[in-house]
Amino acid sequence: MSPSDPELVQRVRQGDLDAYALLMTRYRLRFGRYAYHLLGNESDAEEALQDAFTLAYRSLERCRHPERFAAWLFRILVNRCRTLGTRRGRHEARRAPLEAADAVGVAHPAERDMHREEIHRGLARLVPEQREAFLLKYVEELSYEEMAELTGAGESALKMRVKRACERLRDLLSESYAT
Amino acid sequence: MRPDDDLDSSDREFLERIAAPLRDPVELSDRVERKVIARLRTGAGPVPRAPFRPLIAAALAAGVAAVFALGVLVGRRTAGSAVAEGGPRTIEFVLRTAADSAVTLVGDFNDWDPRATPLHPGAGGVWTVTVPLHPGRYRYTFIVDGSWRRDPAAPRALEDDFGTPTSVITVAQR
Amino acid sequence: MLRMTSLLVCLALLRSPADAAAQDPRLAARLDSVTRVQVEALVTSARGEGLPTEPLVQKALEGSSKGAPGPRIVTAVESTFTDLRRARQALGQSAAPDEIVAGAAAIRAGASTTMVAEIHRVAPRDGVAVPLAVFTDLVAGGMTVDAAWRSVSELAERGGDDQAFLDLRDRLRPAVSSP
Repeated sequence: MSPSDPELVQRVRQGDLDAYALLMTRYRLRFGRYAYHLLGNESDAEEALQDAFTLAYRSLERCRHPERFAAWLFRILVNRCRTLGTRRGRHEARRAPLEAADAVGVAHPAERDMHREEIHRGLARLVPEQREAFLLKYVEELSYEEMAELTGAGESALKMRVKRACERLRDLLSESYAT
Repeated sequence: MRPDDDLDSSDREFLERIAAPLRDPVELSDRVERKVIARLRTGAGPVPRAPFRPLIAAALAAGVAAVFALGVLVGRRTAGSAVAEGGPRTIEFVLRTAADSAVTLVGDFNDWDPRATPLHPGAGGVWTVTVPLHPGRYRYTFIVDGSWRRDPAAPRALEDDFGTPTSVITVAQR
Repeated sequence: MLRMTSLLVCLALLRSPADAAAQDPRLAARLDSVTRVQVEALVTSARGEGLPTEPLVQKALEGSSKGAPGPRIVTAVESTFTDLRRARQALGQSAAPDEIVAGAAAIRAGASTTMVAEIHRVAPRDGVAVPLAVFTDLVAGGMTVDAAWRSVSELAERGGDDQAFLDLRDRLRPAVSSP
């Protein structure tokens, strides 16, 4: 049976870097999806994860509830993605992100779905706050309460962002997705 | 379907169709872990935000010309931690200034006495002093060569009863 | 307010030797006799009402250090007294001194006593002193009272601890304000 998060956190606090590597693998697999869809390409997603893991390690004493390490780490990642997204000015439409991902050979069965490229193009055209809210709500399937705690925004503001994302995506995406 | 949304059913169905293919796992390379381990061993990469320290960096980034002209950059950082719940925390006050005479700290914690808490000069024109503060809210200011100077990196105190600027520090329980 | 101070001064002059022994030596050392008597009367009255007295003493000492004339010092101490009293009314008899002090600052910044009472009702995890202080800092940084209050009360509703409130403040207020 694999060690629990609190067990690994305890070992990391005692200086065990291998334990931290195990934690990172666990959460790269769980959180890579969010970073990839928010930032639009594998390279940026990897950078966001690296930064989040580095920050988490260096501030591990502030993780007061190791049994909630996942939520604590995800919050760091959400903030890091936000910082990277803002820094690189991702308000305008980006080039087809999946082309870059294909070049480095990301193994992903859904890339065979041609519609994913269109969805990504649509996501890229959302303002970052709306993209973030849509992904947290509909892809990561968090409650609005959880989203509020992660982002610091109020629930009503988050619902509005999801609604605006919906309106914008309807405008942007092809008729195959519209109702 | 998510009844906590403000969306109607057709909107929710639309978003579900968009989201479904995005829920497939995305497996990024394990070079993520390898790079992080390398960083941790060399000390490279981002550093978590220590209390108050990034305000100095923010002040520099903002390029506040008046502040630079004055030669005053201030910031605070905690040194050490509370010994017990509600016990005092050690707060370090930092001031970079071109002053070559007297720099002192006055506030609610030292009876506003200009003689009580002088700062000590260090390398590069950085003056420092540490003050034990129990959890609470304190107004304070610096006196640089006889002039009262608010800390530009700290919140401004609105209770300005005497016409001179003061700053505020809030010390939490931990 | 002047009438109140005059009455308190008269009462102070009738004070017993035991009361005289309770005079704060800091005030005696730093204030002229007329100002000292008026300030001490206010301090005695505050003590009698169960209000924290140190903020009043510090306000007087601040005025002394800044070379303010006696009447201005007395006015400032009176204003602080009034704010402390209003804060305690809003927060209740069980409020801790640091909460009353923070509540007084929030009221000075524009919070209504209803707002302060509401925060107390929601009862943030670590008490109300830091949330009230953060509200005051946000207003000092240029936020409107309503916007600052919404930010603080939303976080209180979500159960934020002291650090979460301080993080909120650092996120929302300008990084540098004019000297």
